[in-house]
Amino acid sequence: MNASQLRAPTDRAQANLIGFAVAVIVVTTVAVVGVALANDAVADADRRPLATHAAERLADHLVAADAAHTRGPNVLRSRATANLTPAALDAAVPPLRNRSFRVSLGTETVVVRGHPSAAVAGGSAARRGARVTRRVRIERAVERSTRIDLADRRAVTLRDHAGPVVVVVDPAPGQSIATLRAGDRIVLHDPDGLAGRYVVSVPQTRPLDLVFVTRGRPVVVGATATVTWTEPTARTASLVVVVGG
Amino acid sequence: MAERTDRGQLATSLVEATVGALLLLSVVAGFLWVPVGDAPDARLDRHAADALAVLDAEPPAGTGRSRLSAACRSPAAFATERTELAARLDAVLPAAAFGRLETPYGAVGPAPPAAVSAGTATRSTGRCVLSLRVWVP
Repeated sequence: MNASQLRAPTDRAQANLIGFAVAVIVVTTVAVVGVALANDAVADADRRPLATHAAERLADHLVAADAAHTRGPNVLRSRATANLTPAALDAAVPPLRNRSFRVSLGTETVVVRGHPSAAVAGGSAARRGARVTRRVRIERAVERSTRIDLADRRAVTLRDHAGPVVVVVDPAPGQSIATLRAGDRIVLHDPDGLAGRYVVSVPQTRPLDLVFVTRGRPVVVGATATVTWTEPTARTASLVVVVGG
Repeated sequence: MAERTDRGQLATSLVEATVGALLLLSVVAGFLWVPVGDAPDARLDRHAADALAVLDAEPPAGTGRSRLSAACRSPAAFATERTELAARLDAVLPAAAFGRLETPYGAVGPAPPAAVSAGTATRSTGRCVLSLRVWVP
């Protein structure tokens, strides 16, 4: 080996070391900056604010078809909704515990606990409040009743109804009301004549005609029937849920 | 000869470092460009589902179980419901939103523009399936 043959590996080794040092610095810098950026991004975005989660769960519970205060999906019973308490909502929606919240229908407040801040923007991700708006139908049950004289009227029209219908037939001697028809369905039938109080499940068709059917002979004057049903009066409103951070 | 060798070695290290840095940045980019929070489409989907649920609870203009099931029954029943259905559809959607309800016998509401992201919901009423598309212009 002569000197020139020895020199080249030494030079390459030195040059390699500087290059390696620069490369290590570059890769380390990028790695540190990258991890810092990723950490910030995860802290900001990936962790969904707990208040948003609680607000969505509460809104879902309030419009759920199987909740105690609803009659169907997005259909709330007025009185049961007004009687909701923070404790009952806590039990149904665990993420809501220890948070301030407000539930309002249109402009009227239904349930409130503490002073939730409606401000969705501002503050750190963990402290941010959340707001969810849903559209619901609120039904108030109104008891309706009508009494007809079977001698001159045989039909009652229910414009709107919910739940069972109560029919009381007050017979007169010799009457022959045998059948009650609701829409296209026979809901009561007794060949000996209907008499007394009946609770009847009727089809959901609206409007619904209840028709008393006689068998041949005319109805004796004095026979009456009383029909009692629940007519929902409804309005549509926005359900607004605000949950504090 | 020696200079060329030096430059070659240095450049190789830096190229390797650059490739490594790009690799790291590509992983970081996966964290940075994550879709954040509630997508607007999800909110529109919810508005559409709410609107269908409310319409399905309302008594019809003609006869039937609800507005939606009456609109689904026959072309004649759909014609009866059409006007009121359009008015109620406007009322149950948020003020800024538009909706188009599609039934087997025709549609209610304006057609959505092509280049807009819309939320959709479908509901079956026993006789047929209705779909509602909701968008904010």
